[in-house]
Amino acid sequence: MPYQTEFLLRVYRTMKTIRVFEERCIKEFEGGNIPGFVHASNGQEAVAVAACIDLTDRDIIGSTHRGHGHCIAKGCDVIGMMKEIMGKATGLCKGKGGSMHIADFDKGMIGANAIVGGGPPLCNGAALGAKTRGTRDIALSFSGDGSANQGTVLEALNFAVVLKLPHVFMFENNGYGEGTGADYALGCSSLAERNGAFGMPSEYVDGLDFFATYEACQRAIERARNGEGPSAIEAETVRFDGHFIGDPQLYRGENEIQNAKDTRDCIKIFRERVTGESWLKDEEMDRIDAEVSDLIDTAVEEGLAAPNPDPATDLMADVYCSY
Amino acid sequence: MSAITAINMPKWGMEMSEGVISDWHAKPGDQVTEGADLVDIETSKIINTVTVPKSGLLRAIVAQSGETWDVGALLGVIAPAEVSDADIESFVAERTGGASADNVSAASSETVAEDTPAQTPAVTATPMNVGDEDSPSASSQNGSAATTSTTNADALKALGEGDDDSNVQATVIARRLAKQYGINLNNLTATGRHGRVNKADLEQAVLAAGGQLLASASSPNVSFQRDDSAVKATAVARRLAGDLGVNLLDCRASGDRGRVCKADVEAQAARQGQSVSASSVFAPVSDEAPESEAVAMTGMRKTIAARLQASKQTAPHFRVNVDVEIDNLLAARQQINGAQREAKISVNDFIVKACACALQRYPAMNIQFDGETIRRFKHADISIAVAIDEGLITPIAKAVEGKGLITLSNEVRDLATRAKIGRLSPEEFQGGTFCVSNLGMYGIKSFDAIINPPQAAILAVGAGEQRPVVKGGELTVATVMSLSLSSDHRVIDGALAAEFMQCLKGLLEQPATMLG
Amino acid sequence: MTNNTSSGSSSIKTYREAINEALRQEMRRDPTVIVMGEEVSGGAGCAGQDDAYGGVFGVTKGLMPEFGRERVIDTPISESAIIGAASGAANNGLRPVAELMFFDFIGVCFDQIFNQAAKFRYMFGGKARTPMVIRGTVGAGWRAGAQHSSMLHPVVTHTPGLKVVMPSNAYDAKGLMIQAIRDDDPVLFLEHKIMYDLKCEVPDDPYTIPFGEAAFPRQGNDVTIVAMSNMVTRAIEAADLLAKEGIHCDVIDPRTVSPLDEESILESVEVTGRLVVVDEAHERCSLAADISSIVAEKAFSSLRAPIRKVTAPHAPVPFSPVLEDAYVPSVDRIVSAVRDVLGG
Repeated sequence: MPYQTEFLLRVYRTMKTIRVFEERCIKEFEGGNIPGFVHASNGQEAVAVAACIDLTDRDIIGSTHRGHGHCIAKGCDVIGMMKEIMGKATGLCKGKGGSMHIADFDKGMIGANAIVGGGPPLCNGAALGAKTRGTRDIALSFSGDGSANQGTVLEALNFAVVLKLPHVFMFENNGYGEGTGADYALGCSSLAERNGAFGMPSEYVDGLDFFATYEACQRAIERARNGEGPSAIEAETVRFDGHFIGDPQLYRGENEIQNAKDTRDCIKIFRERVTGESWLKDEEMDRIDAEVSDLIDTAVEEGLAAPNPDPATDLMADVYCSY
Repeated sequence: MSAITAINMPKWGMEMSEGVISDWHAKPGDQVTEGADLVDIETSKIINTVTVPKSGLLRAIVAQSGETWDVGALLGVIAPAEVSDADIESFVAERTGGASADNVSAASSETVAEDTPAQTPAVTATPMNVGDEDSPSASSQNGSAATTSTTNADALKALGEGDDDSNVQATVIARRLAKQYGINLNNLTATGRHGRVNKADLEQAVLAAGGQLLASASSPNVSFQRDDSAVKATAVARRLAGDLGVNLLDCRASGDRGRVCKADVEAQAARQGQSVSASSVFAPVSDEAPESEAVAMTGMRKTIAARLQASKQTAPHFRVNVDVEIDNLLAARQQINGAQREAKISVNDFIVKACACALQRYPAMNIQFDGETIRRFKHADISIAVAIDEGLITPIAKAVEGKGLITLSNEVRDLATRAKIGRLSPEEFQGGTFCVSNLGMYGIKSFDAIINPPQAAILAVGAGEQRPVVKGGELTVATVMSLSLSSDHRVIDGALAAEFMQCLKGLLEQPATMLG
Repeated sequence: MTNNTSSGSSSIKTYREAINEALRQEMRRDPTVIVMGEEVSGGAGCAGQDDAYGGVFGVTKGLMPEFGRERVIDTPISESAIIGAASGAANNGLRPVAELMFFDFIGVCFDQIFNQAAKFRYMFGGKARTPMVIRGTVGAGWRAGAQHSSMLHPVVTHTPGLKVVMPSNAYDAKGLMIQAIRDDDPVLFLEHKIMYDLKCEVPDDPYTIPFGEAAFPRQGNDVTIVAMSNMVTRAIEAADLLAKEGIHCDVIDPRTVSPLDEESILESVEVTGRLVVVDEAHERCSLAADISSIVAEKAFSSLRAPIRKVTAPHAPVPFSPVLEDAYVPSVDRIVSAVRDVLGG
């Protein structure tokens, strides 16, 4: 067996945690317990987990507005996340950030980002930090097919090559930039090819196949750790929900979402593979399902019970380190 | 004649004897509806509005803006259109002794203008003088005004004529003021942004036509002749004042029986920068304008002057002073304000509350005195001196002994706010059984106050400041505030005042004892 | 105030519908008017419906079916490219209306606005014209967090060459949008996201409202309140509360903050002597600070009390609803500022 059982269980548990967390966010948002707007990442779990599962807390990731999955894969506390998404004082960012601005610096998660294309330049900086200090740490930025067209991202790609930074550019292509098709907005025929044109190793993977994605990430991360510079990966994946929760998604084809859930569910695909290969047993995974469900129940309960911030003390806190 | 409704000067409160016409909301010929605002009147203490007693046409305005009229005087006339102008005139004449009939602005104003051209200024000036007791027309009652020439009046009248001006580009303020001045915007030259008529254009046109500007925030003191004929003065002083251009209202009255004497006029002339050397006393006034301006005595100013002078002259004031340590009080205040977000209790609120407690323990202090009868009151109704632009007013916090500090504090803040914009009703500032005057916010250490009759005592409060104090032989620092109580010795004796102050000191130094 | 030519009919419309109508009428009148931005139509390159969004707030809904994708252009998520293209097109015969979905995204494309579009005319000696409108949503209240809630009008108001429009109601929104499209300078048209569903009577025919002319939604002689955008609604509410106590406020809505109708503000202060400025932006270098300084400098002798500013605090917009509600200037804060200037 090419993978250890413990590793496979960890992968399954993480993907499942993201799935249930996102489904619960949708439910709690619709129930009025989550303010603002939320971008759910259910359907894209395999990419997040494949990219992050072997990273250490000293490796840095930069995320997007659709960042819950990246946070969980990088090891952020799901209870602290749920509190943050509910705007509570004990959330990961003390209720100041919300869904689009979760960060956990102890876990090497330097922030979800509400500005499309905001993350990759920042991850260049994280990579520069590692390179300058001579560690073997790396940075990995998540971008979508939409942000692939932002000037900031294109500048960051070239910059990383020029400075030979230990930076893995992970492009999650879920087919939609908000409500516009990637086929329309990406002028090139292949994003992977375009990334390669910047002068770095670049590949395309099926983002629904955890193992293929994981192996592509291992190659890129290894190059980065060895001081061989940046790489780019385009992982094709699928967005089960709207651009934001509540998006009527009129732009999607008839039965497109149901078909995707039936035939393009990365967790189902993972489960079929590991049971088919007899690497894991259904009972083991069923047990994890129950544990994950309990964990998310706890996160929601604790989130709802957590105190609100106090405007008198918290509103003006942390604007500066000192002023 | 029974169809004619008179509008008379109302009497708001016992002290009101006259009122100044501030602003008419309608002009002669307007249809007015019962209950609508008709005319604003300023008394010595408030501005209030007379509403239309009965629907009809406003046929005549007798009392022009800026004029002072006695309570009960006829201000204007409402009648249906069927009543003839002649009937209106005779109605007015009957009630004004004939003399004031000239002031009638009848419904058909052009008739008046043609028939009695000499009176035209009184008619057309009306819209020019809306709104403020400082406005120049205040002098017209004294016979010295009405100086606007017929030419000016015509020019002003012409400014009001023209087609519908609602399509003229004008700033909102200019349009609003034009309505007040009675000016048609078609007659103005626009210099504002995008060719709009602005406030400056309007004011320039008024001045060019010989009119005068409404008093506003930017021109609060329009100087004009004030009638000093009622001021008591010696004959020499009066003649000298006329020669020197000194107004007797500006002079001290140091002469016999409170009269202004020659020395007072000379002193005032000197303040105005005029030479009063013996040789030049009767010399013509210098051509150079003195560097001063005459400031109108408002109704309120006159009242303050009269009442406080009477108090100081008739009530034998004596004072007792005490220093109070207020550190405990400040701590209690901080505790309350910190605990309740809506609480903004001031030190003065504590003082008012403590006075009420002390007055309950010393009912002989909780009195009014009119010179003959002492009236003791059950409730401590405490007047609080509030400085306002026009002078001073003392709104009353009533039955303070039964009120919590937060309630009291909110009430006092509300009274003070409304006092400053002239919106207190008479019962809110007339009466009171005791008064508190606090100048601590100006850093004043201590001062003496003049009793506000018919009250018999007033507490003057200074600033709380850190001072060295000796306690048990040790020098230490405490926050100390000086209190000075002025009492009317005719009804309050020294020992009573001293015990009251001792009690007050105890309450303020141990604020918890106010609860007992 | 308007140059209505018309049948005179009108109907109740939302702020959203009023802007939509303005765009539609101008696009019918003038074939050089185009609309561009992210999802201004929506559904490009997708299997489902076209015009799926009409902008994420639905403001441009229905324009693409009428005018086609040539004039209602869905763009990639590339703000610099959007604004740059709009400026360049404006220099070359078109009148583009470009959308920055959230005005916070100006951060991504600021160079194209402040170094490019704003400076062309002056820098090129008056030879260039850049008749472009940039629409963007501003303001807090949506629980949208720090990067989607800013009030950035001070940043652009500070920049010479730009005009800045902040309509506070549907009527003004339509008239100002038509004026903005016909204007030959770059205009930033800032729509407060809280106000899209606010309704009022709006004429059906096209009309314009000139820039630099304030509106007075309430009139009174006691205190002047200047407020803009969503704060106008709150200022009116405060004024109505105070009116019940006999305190009458002049509420001034400048409608455009660049150019600013200084004249109306100064005249009002000359009458009232008291000024409260309400601005949802942070206090430092805000419109509130700007207007205060203008009044302090040009109408000092009219002031009877210190000016009071009611603004957001010097902090980014917080996500948590309790914090956000404390952040945005409230009716209570406006009322108490008015009491303060009256000496309460």
